[in-house]
Amino acid sequence: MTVKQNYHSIDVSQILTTAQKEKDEGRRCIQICCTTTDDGIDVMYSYRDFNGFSGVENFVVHGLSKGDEIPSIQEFFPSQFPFENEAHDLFGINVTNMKLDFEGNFYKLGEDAPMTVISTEQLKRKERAKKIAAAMKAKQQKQNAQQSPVAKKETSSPTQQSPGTNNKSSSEKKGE
Amino acid sequence: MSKPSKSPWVIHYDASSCNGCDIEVLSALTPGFDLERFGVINTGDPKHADVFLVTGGVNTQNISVIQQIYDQMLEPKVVIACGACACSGGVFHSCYNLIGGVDKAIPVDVYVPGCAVHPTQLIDGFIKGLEILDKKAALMSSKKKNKQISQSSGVQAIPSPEAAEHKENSLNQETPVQKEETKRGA
Amino acid sequence: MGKRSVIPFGPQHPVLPEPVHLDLAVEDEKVVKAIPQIGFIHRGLEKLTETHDYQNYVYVAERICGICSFGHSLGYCETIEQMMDVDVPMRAQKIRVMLHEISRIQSHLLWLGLTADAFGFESLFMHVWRLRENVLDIFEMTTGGRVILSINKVGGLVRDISDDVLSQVESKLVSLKDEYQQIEKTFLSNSSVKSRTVGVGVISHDQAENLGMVGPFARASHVNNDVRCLGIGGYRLLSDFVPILDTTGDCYGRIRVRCKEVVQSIDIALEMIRSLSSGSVSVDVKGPIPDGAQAVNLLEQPRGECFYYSLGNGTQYLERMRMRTPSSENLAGMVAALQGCDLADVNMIILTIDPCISCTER
Repeated sequence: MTVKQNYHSIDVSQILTTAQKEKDEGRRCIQICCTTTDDGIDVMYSYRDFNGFSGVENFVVHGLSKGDEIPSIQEFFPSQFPFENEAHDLFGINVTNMKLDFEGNFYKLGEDAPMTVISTEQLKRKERAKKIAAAMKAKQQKQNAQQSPVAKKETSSPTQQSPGTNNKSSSEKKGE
Repeated sequence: MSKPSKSPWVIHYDASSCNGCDIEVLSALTPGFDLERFGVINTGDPKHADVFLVTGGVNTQNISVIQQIYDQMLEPKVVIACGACACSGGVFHSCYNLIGGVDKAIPVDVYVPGCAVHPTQLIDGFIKGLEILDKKAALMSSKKKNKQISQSSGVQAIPSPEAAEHKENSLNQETPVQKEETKRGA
Repeated sequence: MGKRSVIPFGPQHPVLPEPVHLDLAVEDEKVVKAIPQIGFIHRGLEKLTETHDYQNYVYVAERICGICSFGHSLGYCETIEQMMDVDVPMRAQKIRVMLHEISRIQSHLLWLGLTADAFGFESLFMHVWRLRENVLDIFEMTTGGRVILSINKVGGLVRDISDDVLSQVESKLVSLKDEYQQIEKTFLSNSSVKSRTVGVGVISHDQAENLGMVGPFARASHVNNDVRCLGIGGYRLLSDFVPILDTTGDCYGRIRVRCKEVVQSIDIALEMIRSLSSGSVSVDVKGPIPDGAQAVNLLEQPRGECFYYSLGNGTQYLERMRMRTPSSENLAGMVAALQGCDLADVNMIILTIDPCISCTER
């Protein structure tokens, strides 16, 4: 069984109201995660219920930069202090009004915000993958345009198969 | 003459280890492999210890801690780097927060590789460490004897040619960092 | 009013195998406040996704922590398998659950030994670790490693375990159960153990929920948060799983929960071995991860709920791999449990949380 999960995009101004709402509905924050993407730093808050399980709700704030400020949710969920301090030390995000604030000394690092530094190899790989994906998409569109409406009925839709669908075990039987 | 290798006490510190090597160090001291039958005791006090077992690599936060423990230990002392991370950083050597192996902080006498280090490898490395400990102890006591002779007679002792040659050989063997690698046995 | 002073505890301390520093503000012999300082083990391995592709990263993931090693490799592989929609064969799923439960036994026995050492019962520590060697022998005969097993891969297992070896494992587990039950009696009914642990470091049910505590630490305060109940991955194959809860919320309750979990894990591992059927143990997983694919996974490790999140970017290298380990979530609970305790009980309370600092810092 895969874990039931939902992703929602929110704004910086909605962080506290979301935290209050989730707490009132009986859920708890289980982690805060930052990711450095091409469009800036994303901060993801994950919530889960206390009793029973209806899925993991993930609220993502997109496009922050180093030095931006976000409010702390430690007043609702004191257990999140390590992740907020980590967000500051590793990503350079300033978290305001923290109850337990290590002021940059949570991890005494040799460099500043190391997780925002992307290596040149990784950037090159991503560029190459994007070019390949764009070329394949263009090829697909060309093939679709060339096919006549009659021929389209006979051939099944040649959608690009995700790598995962080739990986199902042929020997797998249900109800074993 | 009493030798420190007869019952060496050990102090163990986890630098930035994943715990794998630490629990194997503890396994070497408990009934499975039982180093305690050789008189080895795990102490928490650096001034009681002869052997310093370090696991894990060195980062900016723990380099001063390792150096402080090493400085507090009394001579003669031996440092054994347990596990791949302590030898050179292991699988994490390219991480942003890792400086390298333990030899970036203090001089190391024995390197024991492995991920995690097997207790039998550790015992092998430990015995090599004890040989080095005995040599250091012998050198210390011969230096002390020469100093006592010169102080009591007021004359500087002139060693015989044979003694001078032996001292020169032992000094040449005893370089500040004597590295010995124990290869993983079959 | 007594005089307040600050006592530094750690990072090098005989009772803790790992470095953690605490500043204990004490008044006479009572701890008024405890501020943790971690960072001695921080290596920054989440960034290694840039140098290790998703198939190789499993070797980094299992070295986050030597005690929870198999759990991390299992959680990581399940996350990638979810993201790439991989169907792992049934035999591999059952063997994974079996090895994970044996890993839980190994972790709890380790912890029980260290706890006995912390309250001065050294001979009990030696007996428990002697028993633990049997579990490590099981690992060595099935996977070749004692601590770092390296048997998980994305798509299943690296190699199968023969029926011959499995029957040896079964008999070892059965004899372990008999020997263990004698030790369990000492832990739970010895008067000197009780005098050191009953009523020490109490956390109530409401406090545990508000502080977001996880694992046996919280289950001792009657918070049911065992992820094995959710039936994720191979755990949906368990016939009947009831989490072990206690109501006292003190150190003795935490010892009791873990003692009983050892027996429960032996039973689960035996159930998995006895219900194994033949089949393959892996599928080939090839190709890059789709751009923008993401997955969240939960796993009940020996210390509690562990959260995994991964994000793909169209290449063979992950954009992000996040592992939120149970000990990070329990830090707030640890600070709360230390408030108001006696200075002499600090060791005991820190150990009953079962901190795994290398997991917290990664």
